[in-house]
Amino acid sequence: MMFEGTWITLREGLEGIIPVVLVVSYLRQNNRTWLTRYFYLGLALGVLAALVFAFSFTGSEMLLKNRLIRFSVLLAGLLFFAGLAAFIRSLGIDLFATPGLILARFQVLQGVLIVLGAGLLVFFDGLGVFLQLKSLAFVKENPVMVFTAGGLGIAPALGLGALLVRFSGKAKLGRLFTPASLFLSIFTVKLLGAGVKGFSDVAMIPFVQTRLIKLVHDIVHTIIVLILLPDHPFIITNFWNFIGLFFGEKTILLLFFILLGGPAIILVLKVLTKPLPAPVDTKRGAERRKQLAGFIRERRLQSVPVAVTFFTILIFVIITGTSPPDPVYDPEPQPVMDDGKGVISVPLADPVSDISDGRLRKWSYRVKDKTIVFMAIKRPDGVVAVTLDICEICQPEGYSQIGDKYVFCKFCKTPIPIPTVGEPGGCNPVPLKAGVSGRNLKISVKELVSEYDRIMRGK
Amino acid sequence: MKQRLLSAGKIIASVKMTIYLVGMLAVYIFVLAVLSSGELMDDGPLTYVNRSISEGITGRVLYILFLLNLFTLIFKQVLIFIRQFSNGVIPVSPAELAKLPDHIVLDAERIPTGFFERLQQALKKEGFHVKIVPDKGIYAIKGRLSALGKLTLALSLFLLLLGLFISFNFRVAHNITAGEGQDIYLAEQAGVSRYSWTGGRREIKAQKTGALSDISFHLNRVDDGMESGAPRPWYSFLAGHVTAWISYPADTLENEAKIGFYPPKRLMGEYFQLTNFGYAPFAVIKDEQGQIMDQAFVILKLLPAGTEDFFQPTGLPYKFHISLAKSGEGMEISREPVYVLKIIRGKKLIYRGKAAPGQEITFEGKTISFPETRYWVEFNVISDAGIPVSLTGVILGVIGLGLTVFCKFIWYRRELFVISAEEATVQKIYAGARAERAHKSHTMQFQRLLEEIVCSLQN
Repeated sequence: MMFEGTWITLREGLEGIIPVVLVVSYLRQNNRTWLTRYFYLGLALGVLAALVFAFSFTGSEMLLKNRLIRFSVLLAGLLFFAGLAAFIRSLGIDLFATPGLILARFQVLQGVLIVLGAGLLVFFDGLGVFLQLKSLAFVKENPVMVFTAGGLGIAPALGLGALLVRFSGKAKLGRLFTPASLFLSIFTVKLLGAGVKGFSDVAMIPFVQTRLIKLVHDIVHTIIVLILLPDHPFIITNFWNFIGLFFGEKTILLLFFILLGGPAIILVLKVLTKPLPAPVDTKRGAERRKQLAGFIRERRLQSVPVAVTFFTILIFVIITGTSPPDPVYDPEPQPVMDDGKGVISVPLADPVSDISDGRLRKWSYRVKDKTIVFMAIKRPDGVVAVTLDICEICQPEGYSQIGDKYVFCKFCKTPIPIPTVGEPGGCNPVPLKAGVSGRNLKISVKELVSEYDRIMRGK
Repeated sequence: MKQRLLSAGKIIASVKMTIYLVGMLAVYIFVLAVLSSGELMDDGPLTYVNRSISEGITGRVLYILFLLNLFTLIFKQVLIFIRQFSNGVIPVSPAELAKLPDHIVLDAERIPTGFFERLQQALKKEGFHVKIVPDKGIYAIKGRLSALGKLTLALSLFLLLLGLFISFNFRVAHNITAGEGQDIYLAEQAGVSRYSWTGGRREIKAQKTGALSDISFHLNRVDDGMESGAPRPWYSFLAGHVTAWISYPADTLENEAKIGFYPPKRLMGEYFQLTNFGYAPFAVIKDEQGQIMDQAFVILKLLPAGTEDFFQPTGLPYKFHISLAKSGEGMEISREPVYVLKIIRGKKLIYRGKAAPGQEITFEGKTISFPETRYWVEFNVISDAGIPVSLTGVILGVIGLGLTVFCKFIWYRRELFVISAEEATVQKIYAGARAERAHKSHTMQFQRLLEEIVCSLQN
């Protein structure tokens, strides 16, 4: 599609202008207009750095996109914690009193910080956009058309940004923000902007949710180990199902909401219940009432951005929570035979075995009186992970795929992120040494059988 | 010197310090995670936390400082709690009192005789516990025990974190298989190792830790519990009923103990539990002349029923595959099981049939029989000084939670202060109040106190 590049830049541009408008209006409102030029300089340098990096990069783009998501999560995390630090400061605990004094004394340092912050704000998104345009140009074999279309997308976004900056100045948008609410609002924009559908197929929110699942799983596991509970084989399935609730999708969504929405709602309450300043005694009754009404109005206005943040997260959680669950995919194992020389060769390109779609594939190999099922999946980093369809701990029910992010052990329901399939340990499927030769997956019978026997004997 | 120590104590025992330490630990964990794996956040967050505080000096020092900070914070609160019960101390200075949200400063020409005694009487009527410091002031408090729940909770958190740290750093585990009648000396066993908390991704090599080396015992017998008819526990039926009887130490057999799967048994200062159970048939192989060629108890994994295992005596070209034969409606655990025996030489099956206890099976001129079957069990022996600490923390946590909820409904702390001080030859009266939460009755009480002060001064 000709305007694919336009859509990419328009979408990212619109997402990018919101934090810019918020920051600029905040700086102007708080008598720091002189910092705006440093902010614009930082934005320009960030975009330039992204452009240079994208076009000089020669490694695996898929791997880079994966890393980009992680850096974006870090950036969002930094914004979130900056918001929290600002909130803690409003409670009277100034965590950065000394650096604050130094910054106040040397204005140039404030400028440098603003340049760095602004650069970071756009660098990762910019890099993602340029990489996508680069890939598109390669596929379409027409770089001029793709980049012209990209330019067409960014132009209206920039125009709209300029208009909004002007409007925000007139509307005094900056007075709505405290430092804490400013950071939290930008964090929400970044999170939801790159969260649902980020660069290519890699998004931020599922990444965060995966880490949350892993965190809760590890906490439960640590508690089990700490209290010396015997591991899997002797715990009845119902009990595991109960434990599994702790890292179920809905629980994680709730935790996600508490973690992100919790600070926002506390901030709203804090702003709304901020003590009113004592009116000046000399004023008459009517003037005093007017003054108090002004304070109350300002308090309400300041709660708006954080309330918007809270409701955005709430709506996201409701939509995600009420969406139909990802379908479970459990393919029927396809019987395979060895070539008589001790090697099993599976074609990867036929309709049944084609693994390029990221779906799990299974094969069964019969040797003597046992049937060994093994499986393969193409990970987001492009590696084809080949494993036994057996959990070393919970054997022998095997695995299914759920959505495009996880496989899970059918016995204990532990979700295993697809990027970790092929790595040993825990409830991960038992990895096998296999090679991709041409369009075939090759695995030695000896490797397959010995690993199977080792697991089944528990030795 | 005392002042310096006090200042240092105040810095250490501050919430600000807690935030700094947690922040530093988080940054260290992140840097360590990135540097050690070369990847960003590939593992679960808890894995990195665990790794950071159990490996290397920096993480450990940071964590210990964090624990120290937590302890001093709790200690400070305990001191405050004790001071509220002690006599003769007003826990705030005039300067501190002037910072309270409810306070007032009055000028007085002189303090009338019996001024504080009069206030004491008035406050006692209101149900306050009142302390009086002659010529200095009074301190009145209600709901002194309200801090009890929170203190217990804080202490429980401290103990849990301390216990986890000890476990992460010092837990040593050994897994050993023993048959009925066998003597076990752990000092002679290889493989005593640091416990791997982070799952299979990190191999911890066996270390000579010195722990567990004094442990020795004799496995007297194993009770399969088939006749106990006990209700089904939340761990599996089989594991729920199997118990092992041991005598220890192995040299003197002075004591006897019963060990099950859960909860672990504390013996010889360590934790013992069963982690597996199975059959060890006594196999006797005779040649054509009836001479014994080989005989031994062989530990086999035949459970769950239907599982097949095998053994291969040294020097004989046979593999003996064994599984449990069906008896009656299903496969029961029995002291005298009937086996399904398969004898394989090379790739050739030379015998397949049932083998009853003591029955001699003839194959290629030789015989094999299983005159006796004993049980084997797998023991987990764990040395971990952190478990009692963590468990105390968990128990205190439950108590603290109950107390906190209880205290919330029964008590809430209200404090009233009246202090007299001479400033620049002017006698001043400081009155202040603070409460755990805002309450109308508290405000009214403060008002009544002020009225009483004014009234007493006028008289």
